Amino acid sequence: MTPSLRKRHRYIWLVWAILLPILVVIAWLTIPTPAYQDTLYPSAATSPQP
Amino acid sequence: MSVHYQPVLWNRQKRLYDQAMLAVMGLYLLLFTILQLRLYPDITPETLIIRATGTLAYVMLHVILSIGPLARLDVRFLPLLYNRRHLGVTMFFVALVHGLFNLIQFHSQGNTDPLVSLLTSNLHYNSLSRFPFEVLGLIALLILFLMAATSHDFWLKNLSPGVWKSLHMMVYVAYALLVMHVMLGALQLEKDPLWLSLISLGLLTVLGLHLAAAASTRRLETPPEGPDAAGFVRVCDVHEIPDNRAKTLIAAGQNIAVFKYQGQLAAVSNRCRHQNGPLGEGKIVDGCITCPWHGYQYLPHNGQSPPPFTEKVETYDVKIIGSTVWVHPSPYPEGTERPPVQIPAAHLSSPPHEKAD
Repeated sequence: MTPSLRKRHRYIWLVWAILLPILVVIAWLTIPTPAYQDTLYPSAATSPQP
Repeated sequence: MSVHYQPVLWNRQKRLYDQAMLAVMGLYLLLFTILQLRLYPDITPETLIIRATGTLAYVMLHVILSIGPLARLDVRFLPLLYNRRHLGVTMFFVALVHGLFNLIQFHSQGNTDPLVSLLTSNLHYNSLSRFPFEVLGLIALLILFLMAATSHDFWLKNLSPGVWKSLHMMVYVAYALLVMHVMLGALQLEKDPLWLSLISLGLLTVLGLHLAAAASTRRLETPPEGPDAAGFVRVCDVHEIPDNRAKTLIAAGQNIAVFKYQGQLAAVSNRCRHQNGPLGEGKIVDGCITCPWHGYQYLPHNGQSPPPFTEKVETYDVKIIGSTVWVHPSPYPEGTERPPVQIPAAHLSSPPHEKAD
């Protein structure tokens, strides 16, 4: 591998080493929580009928 | 090395490699199918194919990206490097099946053209959770197509090694796109941390190997001692070069490999004519310097490929003073004969642990 090619490889992987883990974490944090877990029928059992 | 173009340079090793590759792929698909049928008994054949080919292509890409740094860190992985092309082209076809089945399953049922549907049905570019991740996969697939289509020495020769290598380094862009394709696609439906762990493990493995290989090869860029009055720069002590192997250095912008063989020293360019492979990491086989990447060969005393082949590399003057090896970093034109330097008898033996294999 030529020195310039080696340098190009090194820069690319250094950038990816910083960028990709950040993007992966951000993407993971954006995964929506399923709506039915907490929001469906929240008070049906507890609220008394008028 | 080739006199004329051949569709595929088959040999026994390549056939064995391909058979092993297909067997492992078949085993993966079988196990994946069994697992999916157990976990999701109602899964449709189309969904099963999409999942199986998608995960297989993703795993194969990780293997492909790991081969280069592994071969730089340990020469025992070099046989994988010789055959990496077949793995890459096969991976493209697996990814293509994944893409086509997605197109059929999700974009071919309406009046719109499937490709138009893929590009226009989801335009939430401002939302990460609803991002059109399929477009990322499509761009990656186009890059992989370009690479697969040019994975032949015909294109290497016609595009020139520099352009060809730059084109094939686009695989790193494709990899980043595919990581995000998975993270913003399949994983948006799976909150199970197991999937994140698997994606992270693959990512960290590839990143770690590439960074480790970069660190190990950085030592080569240390400027050598010299030059002396005649313009020679110091290479190393003669005992530091194992028999039939080389010591490499970069001096005055020249990437040089000094080989020791049959009690002699000779220096040639460290760049193979084929793909700029590191000749200095290869060894002398049948009297020829043999490139570790694809086996191109050169005679050490003149840098010429043995007949009928025509590739040539630059040669350099070498001298030995005491036990110190020196090289002149001014190259002779490609294929110029330079008589090898005889190593004095007192310095002929290599340390036992450095004996050539």
